[in-house]
Amino acid sequence: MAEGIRDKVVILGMGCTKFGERWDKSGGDLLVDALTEALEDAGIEKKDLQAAWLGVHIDEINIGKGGTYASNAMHLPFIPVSRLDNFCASGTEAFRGAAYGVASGAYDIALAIGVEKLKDTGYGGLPDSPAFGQEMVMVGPNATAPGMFAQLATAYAAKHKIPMERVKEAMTHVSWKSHQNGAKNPRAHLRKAVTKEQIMGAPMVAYPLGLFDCCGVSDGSAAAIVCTPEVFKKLKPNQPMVKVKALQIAVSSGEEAAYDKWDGASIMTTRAASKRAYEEAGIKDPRKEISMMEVHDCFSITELCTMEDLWISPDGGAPDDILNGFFDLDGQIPCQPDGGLKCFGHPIGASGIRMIFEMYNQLLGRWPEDRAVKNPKFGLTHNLGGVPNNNVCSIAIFGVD
Amino acid sequence: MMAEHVHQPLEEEIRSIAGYYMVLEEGVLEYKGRQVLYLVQMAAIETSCCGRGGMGFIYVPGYVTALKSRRNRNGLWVSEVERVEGDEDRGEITRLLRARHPGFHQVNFA
Amino acid sequence: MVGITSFGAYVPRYRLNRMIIFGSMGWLNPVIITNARGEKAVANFDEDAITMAVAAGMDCLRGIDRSGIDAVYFASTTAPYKERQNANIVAGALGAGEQIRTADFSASLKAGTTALLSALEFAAANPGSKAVVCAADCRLGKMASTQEMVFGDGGGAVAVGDGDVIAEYKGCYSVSYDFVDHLRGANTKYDRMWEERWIRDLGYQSFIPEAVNGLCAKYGLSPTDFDKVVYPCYYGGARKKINAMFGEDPAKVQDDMLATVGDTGAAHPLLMLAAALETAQPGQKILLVSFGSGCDAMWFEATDAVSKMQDGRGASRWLARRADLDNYQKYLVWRGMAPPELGLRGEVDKETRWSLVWRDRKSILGLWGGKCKACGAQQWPAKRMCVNPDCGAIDQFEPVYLADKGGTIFSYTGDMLAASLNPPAVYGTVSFNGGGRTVLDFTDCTVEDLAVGNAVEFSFRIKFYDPKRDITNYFWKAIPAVEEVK
Repeated sequence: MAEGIRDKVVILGMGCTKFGERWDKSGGDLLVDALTEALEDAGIEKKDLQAAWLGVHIDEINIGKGGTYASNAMHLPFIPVSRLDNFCASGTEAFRGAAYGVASGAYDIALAIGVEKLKDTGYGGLPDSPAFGQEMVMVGPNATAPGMFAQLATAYAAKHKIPMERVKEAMTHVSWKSHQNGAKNPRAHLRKAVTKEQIMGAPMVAYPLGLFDCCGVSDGSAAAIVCTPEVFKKLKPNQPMVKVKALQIAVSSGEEAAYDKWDGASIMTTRAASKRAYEEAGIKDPRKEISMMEVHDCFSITELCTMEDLWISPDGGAPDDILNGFFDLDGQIPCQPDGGLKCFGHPIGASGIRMIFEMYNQLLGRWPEDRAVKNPKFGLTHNLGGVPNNNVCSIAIFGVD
Repeated sequence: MMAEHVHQPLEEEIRSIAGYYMVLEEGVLEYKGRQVLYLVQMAAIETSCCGRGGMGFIYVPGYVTALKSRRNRNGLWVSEVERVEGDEDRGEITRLLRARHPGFHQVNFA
Repeated sequence: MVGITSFGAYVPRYRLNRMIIFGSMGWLNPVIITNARGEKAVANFDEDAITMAVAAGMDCLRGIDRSGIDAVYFASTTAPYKERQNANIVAGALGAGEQIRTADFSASLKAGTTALLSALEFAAANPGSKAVVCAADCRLGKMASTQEMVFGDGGGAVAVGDGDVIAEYKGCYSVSYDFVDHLRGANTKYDRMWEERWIRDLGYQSFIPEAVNGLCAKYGLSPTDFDKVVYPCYYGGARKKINAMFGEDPAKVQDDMLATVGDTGAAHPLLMLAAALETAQPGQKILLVSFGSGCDAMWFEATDAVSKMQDGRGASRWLARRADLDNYQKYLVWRGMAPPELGLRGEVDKETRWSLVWRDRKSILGLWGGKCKACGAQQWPAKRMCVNPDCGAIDQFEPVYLADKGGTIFSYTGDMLAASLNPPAVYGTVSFNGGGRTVLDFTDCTVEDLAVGNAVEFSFRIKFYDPKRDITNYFWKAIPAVEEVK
């Protein structure tokens, strides 16, 4: 009987570059920076790494396919380097690869590293690509992610009979909070607090999503070195240990896009993956037990719906929780303490590991008081890649001993 | 509904990670004997994850009840306004503002 | 008895007032004021001769079983393909089978009537068979030209056979001349014409009467015997003179739609015929004449069954469905007459994978989905496995033609970031009537026109154009359900 990987894998060290428009750095430069910081934090050398998993999404520009570019850039010593792409969950997928490698007993120490170099396109945004397959080139809508997520907002308001003004007010709070948090974070791409009035006055990108409801494109890299608890105790005796409590992925079955049952107002993969993650972590009541979260706020409505899909807010109750400050930095479950995608940035392959980086440092109490979460026990990260009716969701839960 | 409107400085970027917008000018539209405050704005969506674009758009805080009656703690002017409600008035004001500012893509109401 | 069994029409939603053209271009060529009355129909940026022919064909085939179609003929002088049969694309979109005859008719404005004659002769030669003729044109005149003023975009369609005939085919008479009033070479985009006085006096005013008189002589008729007269001629003076030969009653001559649509080229006789059939009475004699490199003159007699097809199909509902195109520059960009900056993103190369298109042709061209024989769930696409999570049956689909089923809006948005020639791009999730859903582009509407739950129809449109390889790809979009005209 499969029992998951709870407490079988711990984080030995992590690194994360500043995210942003890194015109001066290549993908390889960013990988080296993230790796160097992670090795220093872990207190080991490159030769101690036995295997690596690389998370990266786009290959049209960026670092190409396969594991060679990354292995060359970091001059890894002929170890396995496996490239993983699963949309915005790619970073967490790489972490999962490394964690499973260690949990299986195949390796003592493994590297998960994510990177995305997107600012060489010559235009804003991700490159066009047949991301959903060649068949969709012929029949897929002329759609962008904001437009697909905008439909989540209209369907959400309709399903719960909540006036759109109220949903927009909650989305505004979501964005306002991330900007408050991001302003305090030196590694964040955008460090600027905004007023709610400034958010409300912005234009619609895709109704009802405004300019401040959408995330951006960043360059960046993040790395995690994982090992078994036994190896950790040898290398870092008597130090607090951040343990992996759960790692779950769920991928759309195609039901949301073509069958008649999906409500259009929730994300089925998040509901499935989080249920399994809580079971793996032994969490019974996430609203009471989860201490903090980094969720995939690609759009403000995604964060809003995610609060319900993670079984933290009751269905239809997320706007109330959000506006009551439940997810603020000083609320019951701070969400996006590092600024989230909207302020920290979103280099796709690195984002999942960036979120883990925040949970790791919060659990170890390393951040200054003005942005520290008080006495965290469990931290949760969440990625959502794709669009509401067809996507990949990853959930990871961490705890500290 | 009564509300306050904080006047943003003109031609100053209000930036998000996906782009920015700014207020180009403030205007008043006479409508049914009342004065509708509106802002002529522009936006560039240049660093969004999902495309690029931009537009001219108009934002309507509401009917003016007290124009620039005080300054807030940041030194910005604050006006008292009454929100424009109802599809009919919003539609007619949209039509009038579009005629006054051709090419503008959106008329959004607070 | 062989004859017309149904008819259809299509007029694109956007109408450009000719005074807007004059206001934009009159400074250069002030004489275009002479044609500046009324408005012309302009194809949307995602429409061309194929899509408009399909739209007319869909109108014509409402309520008609597609499996009985034995031939599909397409007529146009602006077909997007020189090689790759355009009629096959039309037939696929109409949901016809593949064991049928298809043909393109082109190179003359009488191509529409010649296709109709061929279809009638096909039906006569093959008892029990059915054929459909779909014609459309989207001709271009240069900026500030007479043609730009006069030409309009639209389509007409006629179904023929020997059962349920609504207008019996009685006979024809054709004349063919290498009379070059208008021409376009094989690689020419814009129409070129010779002197208008010559076209009017020697062309319309002599060939149309010659064809009509020839028809009458052949069948022992007089031109005044006809109750409805359908022929194109955009010269008002010439039209008056020709009308005189049909007798005193001006009402029997069908309106030429110049003020509302413009001259739709090879489609125009069939578009006007569709409008005539909307009001035809049993027993009425109908004369149809085309003009272009000669004339085809044909006569029909409406049967008692004609009222059965007077159910809303035809030109009226399309004429009533209109929106102003208040912007000449938009017209130029939509018709490819002025190059817009689409940004670096717009330069991304999109290849067409023909083997993929072949595999998925039913699903792409006809929006064919499937109904699972195991659980009954209708779905699109229907690939191998049923989408119902409680079923999952493999290869159990009964094909379902969804293009004429319509649906309702599940969710929708207007998107300022998606690259579009008519931003914001509008799209949304549509629930098919009968089950299943998918995300489709919307067209012929603005976001403000939509609401969750509203009814939509499906319209065959250009999906994307690959300028590097001159490939036009097509797929279905959603449009707000078109209202019937009472």
